Amino acid sequence: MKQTQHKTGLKRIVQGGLVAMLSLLLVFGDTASMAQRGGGGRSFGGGSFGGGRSFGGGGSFGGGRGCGGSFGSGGGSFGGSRGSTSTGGSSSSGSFGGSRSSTGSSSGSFGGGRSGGFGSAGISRSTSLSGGSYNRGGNTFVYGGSSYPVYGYGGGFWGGYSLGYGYSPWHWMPFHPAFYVSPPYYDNGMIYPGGFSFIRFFFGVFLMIFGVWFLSRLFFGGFGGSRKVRYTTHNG
Amino acid sequence: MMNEMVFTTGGDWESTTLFNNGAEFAAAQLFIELAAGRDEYGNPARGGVNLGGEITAIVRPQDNADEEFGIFPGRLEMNFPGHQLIMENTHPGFAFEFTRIIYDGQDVTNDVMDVYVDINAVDNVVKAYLTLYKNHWFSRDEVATFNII
Repeated sequence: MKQTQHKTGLKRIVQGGLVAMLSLLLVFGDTASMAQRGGGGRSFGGGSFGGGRSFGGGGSFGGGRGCGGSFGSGGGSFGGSRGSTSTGGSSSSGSFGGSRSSTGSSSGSFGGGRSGGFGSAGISRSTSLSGGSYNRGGNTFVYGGSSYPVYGYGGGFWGGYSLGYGYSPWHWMPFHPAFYVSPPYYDNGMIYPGGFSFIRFFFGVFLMIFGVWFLSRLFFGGFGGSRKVRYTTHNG
Repeated sequence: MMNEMVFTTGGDWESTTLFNNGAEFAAAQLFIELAAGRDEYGNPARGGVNLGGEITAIVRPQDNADEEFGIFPGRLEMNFPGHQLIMENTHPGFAFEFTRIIYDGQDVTNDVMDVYVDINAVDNVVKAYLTLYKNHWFSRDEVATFNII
């Protein structure tokens, strides 16, 4: 009695479909994450998040330039005024839509709030900060309940990702650009965006190679089905 | 009716018996040949019976060696010195993917590549081996042949 049956094709199709679904999930998940942060990949890198130009140029905040100016004046008041704690103008997101005058008024109190915050928050020099949030309107970084000025309007592409550090779980995965930047750090009264991290880059490359290897082993038993095998014989 | 066959050998012809549904069956030959665990190009692959294949399972009676009887659907238990091989296919239509293979108490259905058993009293041939595809994570996969007798 002889029985023959082959069904290798169906199994291959099912396995390939699973891999494709996983890939799509990763791609669309990444896109959704970017949209949530800054409204798409272009605005992300271009600077609506990290760059100063689109911040001022857009004017959608009703005071981009004014804010810039007040920031400058605020910078001057860093060392001077300490009494005011009305940093809410710059730290709260609701103040983005506010008038220039309100932004301007916050400039004077800005330094006081921040300088007071430094002492109370206990941030020491060159402290690496992760988990805070970037306030585009005031170009400030909110960390530990206090607001600090950010150097250079976010610092460009990598800086933007750095200041958004810790926002999304995708940032902790190697297929998101934010994975490859260091967290922002505090130094000499300012928050500086972290730059590209080669350590994270090498770690990310390792993770991706490992992931490809793992999936190929899981679903196909080797790379491209051309994996060599060894033949052994056991007696008894 | 399902066959329930039990083949036992101690290593010589005197100790070799074949029972079917509790009654001794005087056989000239027991022949099993199963091939599975290969991809569409015939290369060894992981999956065993799930990858499809073909099987021949027959016995020839002693009184008429030219005649052959199919073993499946049913169950065949083969007891060799130090090893036990069980093959089972209870599907009424003898569909290949319903074949189960247990070697020394371990289900190797999804790892099997070859099963070959030829117990031929007429030609004095005794041969049985099993080939498994063994998947390894960190080293090359292995095609292991176990000579049973």
